Amino acid sequence: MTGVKTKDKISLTGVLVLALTMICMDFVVFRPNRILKGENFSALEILGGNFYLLLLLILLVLLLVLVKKDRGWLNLLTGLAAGIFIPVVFYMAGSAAGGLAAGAPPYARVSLGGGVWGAVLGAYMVVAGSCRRGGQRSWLKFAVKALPLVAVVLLLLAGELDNLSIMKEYFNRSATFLAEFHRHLTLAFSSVALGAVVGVLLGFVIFKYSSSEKIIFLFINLAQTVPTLSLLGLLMIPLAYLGERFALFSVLGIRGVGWAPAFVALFLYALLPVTGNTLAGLRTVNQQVIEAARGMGMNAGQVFWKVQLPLTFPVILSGIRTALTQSIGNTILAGLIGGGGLGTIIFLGLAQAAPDLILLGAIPVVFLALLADAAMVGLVGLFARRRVRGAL
Amino acid sequence: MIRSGRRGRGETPRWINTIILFMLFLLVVFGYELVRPVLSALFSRQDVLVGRTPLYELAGQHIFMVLASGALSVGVALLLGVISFFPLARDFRELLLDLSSLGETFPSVAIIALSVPILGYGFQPTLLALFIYGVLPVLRNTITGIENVPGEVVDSAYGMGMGRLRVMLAVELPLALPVIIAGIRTSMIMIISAATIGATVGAGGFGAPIISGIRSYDTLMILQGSVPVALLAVAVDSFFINLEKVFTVNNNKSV
Repeated sequence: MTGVKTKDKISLTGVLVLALTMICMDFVVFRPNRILKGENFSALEILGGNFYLLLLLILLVLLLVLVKKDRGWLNLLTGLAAGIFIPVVFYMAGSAAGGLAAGAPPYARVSLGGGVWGAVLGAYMVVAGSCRRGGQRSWLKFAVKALPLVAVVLLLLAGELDNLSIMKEYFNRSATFLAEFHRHLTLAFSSVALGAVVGVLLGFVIFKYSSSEKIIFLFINLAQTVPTLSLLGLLMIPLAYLGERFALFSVLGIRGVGWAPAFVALFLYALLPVTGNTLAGLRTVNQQVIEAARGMGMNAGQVFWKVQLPLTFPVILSGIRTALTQSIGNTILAGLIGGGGLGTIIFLGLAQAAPDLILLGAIPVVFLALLADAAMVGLVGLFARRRVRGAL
Repeated sequence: MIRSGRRGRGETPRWINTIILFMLFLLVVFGYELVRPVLSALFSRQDVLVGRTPLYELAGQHIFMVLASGALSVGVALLLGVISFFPLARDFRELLLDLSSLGETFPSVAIIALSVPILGYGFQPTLLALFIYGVLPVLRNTITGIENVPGEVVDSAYGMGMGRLRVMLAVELPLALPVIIAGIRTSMIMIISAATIGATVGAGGFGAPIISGIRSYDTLMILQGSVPVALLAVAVDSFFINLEKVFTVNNNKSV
C-alpha cells in the first residue's frame, strides 16, 4: 500500500467495468405493466446527447486513474469524480423514466437495467481503489466514500427518482413498507440484544467452569449448523404446542407462526459469535492484571465488572457485530412464517413475479446490514483504542 | 464466522461420529418412504396431496445443488486465492479480502431473491447465489491461510531452489490446508442452509416440504424437510471437522 509506484489496477478495472456496462448493457427497461416482459433501452438510445457527457466523464476518470500514481490529492479527486458518476447515472435514469412514463398508461413501469447497476459497481470500485492509495487523511477519504450514497439519498428525497418502478412500488404500499421496516429492525435488534446478554453470561460460565465448555458449545454449535429454515420449522412445532396448551403463552402472542419462532431462531443464532468471543476475550485477559486487582482488595464481582468485562469488551462487541449482521439478513425469513419484516415484501415479490417488489424489500436489508456492520466496526475500533490507551 | 483453529489442534479425528450421522441421514431419507403412508394417514392433511415427491428425490436435488455449487465455488476460490499471490494480481488481494468479508454481510436470502429478476425461477438463480456465497469463506481462508505460512519456511523453500509456482504448490498450499478446509466447511454449511431457502424460488430440495408445510401449517411436512436437512448439515460439519484434524496432524509431523 505505501510506496506503491505501479498503476492502480483496481481503479483501472473499475473504469473498464464502468465503460463496458454503460456502452453494452441495457440502461432502463420499459414495461406496459409490471408483469409483462419489457422493452430494453441502451444508454445511447435513451439519453441521447447526455450519453456523450457521461462518456466524457468516464474518459476524465480514466485519465485521472492513469496519471494519479500515489499523489494524495489526485487520488481524492479521482474518487470524487468517480463518486459523482453514481448520483448522475441515477438522476439520468430517473429523468429518462419520467420521459418514458409521460406518454404511457399509469400501470407502465420503468426499471433500472443491468447497465445502471454495473456502472454503479464499476464507479464504486474506482472510489474504493483510489481511497486506498496515497495520504493519511482518513476523514476526507471517508467523506469521498460516503458522498455517492448521500447524494443518492438526497435524489430520493427530492423525488427525482419517483418515476422508477421501485419507487412506484414503494408509493403503492408505503405504509406497509414502513411498518415492515420497523418490525424488521425490532426483531433483528431485540433478538441480538437478548442473545448478547445470554451469550456473555454463557461465556462467563464456561470461563469459570471449563467442564461445561463441551456441552454448551455442542448446543450452540448445533443451532448454528442447522439450516435457518429447518430451525424455524423445528421451532414452530413446540411453540405451537405451548401456545395451544398454556393461556399465558397465547396471551403473549407465542404461537407456531408469527414473531415467536423467528425471534427464538435469531436469538439462538446470535449465541455462538457472542459466547465464543466472550470466552476468547476472557481467556486473553492477563492473569497478572486480575491478581493486581485482587491485591487492591476487589472482590470477584468487582474484578468482573471493573477489570475483566471492560478489557474483554471490544472482543465481545465484535462478536455482537457478527451476530447483528447475520441477524438482519436472517430476519428476512420471518416473512415466511408471518413474523413480518422486509422479508414479507420480498416473498410477496417472489410470489407475484414482480422484480421491483423484490428489490424494494431486499435493497433496504442489504443496506441495513452493511450500515450496522460499518457502525459496529467503528464502535469496536473506538473501544479497542481506549482499551490500549487505558489498561495495557 | 471463522471457526478455524480453536478446535482440535492435533486432536485425533473421530470418524465414527461422521459415519453415524451419515447413516442416520440415509436411514431417515430412505426409511421414511416405508412409514409414510401410516404417518400421513395419522397426522397430515397435506402430505397426501402435495408431498408426493419421495424424500430420496428431494435429497438428490438438494445434494446435487450443494455439490455442484460447492465444487465450483471451492475451485474458483482456490484459483483466485492462489492467483492473488502472484505478482500481476497482487494489488487485488486486499480487494478480494474486503469483498469476501463484505459478501458475508450480504444476506444469502437477498442474493437468491435478487438473482430471480436476472435468471428467473428454479435451479439457476439458486445455483448462482449458492456459488457466489460459497466462494467467499474459502477465498478468505485461502488468502489468510497462505499469508500466515511462516516466512522462514517459504524462504528456505526458495533457498532450496524452488520456483514461485512450486513453493506455492508444494509448501504454501499444503501448510495452509487446515485453514482452507475450515473455510470449505463454513462454505458448505452456508450452502446447505441457503439451498433450503432455494425452495422459495422453486429450486426443490428439502426446503420444498418445509415451505409447503409452513404455508399449510402441517407439522409432518415441516419435519419431513427439517429433520433430514439438519442431519445432513451436522454430518457434513463433522466430516470437515475431522478432515481439518487429519491435515493439522500431518502438518505437525512434517514441519
